[in-house]
Amino acid sequence: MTERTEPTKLVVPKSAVTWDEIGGEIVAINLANGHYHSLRDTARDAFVLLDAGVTVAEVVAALAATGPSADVVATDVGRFVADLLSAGLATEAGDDASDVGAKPDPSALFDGNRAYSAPLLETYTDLEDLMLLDPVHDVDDKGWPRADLDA
Amino acid sequence: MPDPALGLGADRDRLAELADQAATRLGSSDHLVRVGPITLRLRVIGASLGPRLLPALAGLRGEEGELPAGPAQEPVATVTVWDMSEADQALPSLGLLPRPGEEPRTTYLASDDDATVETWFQPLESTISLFDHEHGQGWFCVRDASVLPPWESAAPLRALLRWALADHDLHLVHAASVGRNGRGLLLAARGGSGKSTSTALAAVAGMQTTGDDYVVLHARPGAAPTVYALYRTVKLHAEVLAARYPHVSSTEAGHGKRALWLDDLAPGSLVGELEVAGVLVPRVAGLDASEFHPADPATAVRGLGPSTVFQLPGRPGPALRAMGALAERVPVFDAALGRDLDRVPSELARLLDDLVAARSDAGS
Repeated sequence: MTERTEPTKLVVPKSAVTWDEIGGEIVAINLANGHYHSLRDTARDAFVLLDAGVTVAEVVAALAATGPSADVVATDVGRFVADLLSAGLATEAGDDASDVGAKPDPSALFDGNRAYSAPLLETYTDLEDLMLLDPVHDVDDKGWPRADLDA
Repeated sequence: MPDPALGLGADRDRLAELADQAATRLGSSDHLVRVGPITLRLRVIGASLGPRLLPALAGLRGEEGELPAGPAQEPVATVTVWDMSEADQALPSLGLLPRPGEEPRTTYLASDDDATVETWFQPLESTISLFDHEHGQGWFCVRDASVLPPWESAAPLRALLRWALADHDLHLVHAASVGRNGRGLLLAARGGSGKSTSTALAAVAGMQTTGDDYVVLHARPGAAPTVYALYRTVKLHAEVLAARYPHVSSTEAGHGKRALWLDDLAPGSLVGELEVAGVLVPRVAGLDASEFHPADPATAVRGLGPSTVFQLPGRPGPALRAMGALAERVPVFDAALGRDLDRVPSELARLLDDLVAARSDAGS
């Protein structure tokens, strides 16, 4: 049996996720399921670092340098990474992703003076109904789908 | 079935060919639509589709209900529309359509690798939209105009207009606006938040608006954020309409709503543009009076962004960045709307006046 390992590096799937940072808060939208998310403070920092290609271990080290113990940060970041994966905001990077591009400098991507708090992924699901259910339709004699609009 | 390897360029060529064939058979007419600083050309083939698409467009020149005409401009893009039933055409083989055996979906979006061509196939509505960004050319065809769903007539050609406008840093967003003296508030938020009713009440009370459901946002550093009108439509729940404005003619808009023209409801209320003085994220709170609580910029983007992204196809990044740029330029408020709807217009007007005065003081 293969033992499941923790992801070492993540990528944000550009085709399924769009995000922007506004006033220090990231609003990330999952285009596939209608959920959207807010990432503030340490969650913002961790997400920016991960999106830039910083490894999970380096994120832990960078955040731990702001004061808290590395064990606490590792536990918090591990939970956060699991939440990102579960929400579809990130996927595990392949083995060949680690050496692609310039190595990012974590200290340039976040404010090291920010007080640490456990990174939290806030999730909003109130727009799920805008993602309409898949219709069942027939095809007419000219090839067009025929759907019952009242269904 | 089509060969996907041919790409969307082949689809574009096929649709252009079908449009030419339909135009030869049925004839066509050109219509210019002004949207803020730009003009678009709509080429309407045949007679059946135009009456279902054109009336809702706010900036249609030379038509009843048009906005004040600006100087004549060369159109920046052309969108050709036709009814394939009227042209006696069958659904063509196109790469943008689902493959045989593919799981049915509500909507099929596609774009080529560099997003030069974007497409949207809607099985429910039986419509195909395709836009070629490089050449500023779009095509929209419908299986049968007589069965076009009512929401397509209330806010027609959303995808194509969004794509064409985005090339000029103009972003179609799911929001309403109310204002006066050329300045206004942008009302974000999803349906059920009180946005449409507030807009209608404000218009009837003498305020201005650039739209109820979709407006066009221009927000870039260094320029005053502005919203422009695209549609004349306001959609109200049937019972609200019957109780408050039974004399105003309306059409079915789907989902329990009726569509009416803002200039029928409140002549003179629809204006071409408003400079945005603030963003409101409204909710029905049932309070005695409306309350406006300052909120952080991200609140505006959470209110504007997701519902825009989920309702309108296309690359979401530029629109989201424009919303972010707006939210960082103007104050944002959580708007807890009061239960006395008749007070809402004066409450909105007072907030707007306060924001304009505060900015005037800051600038003096």
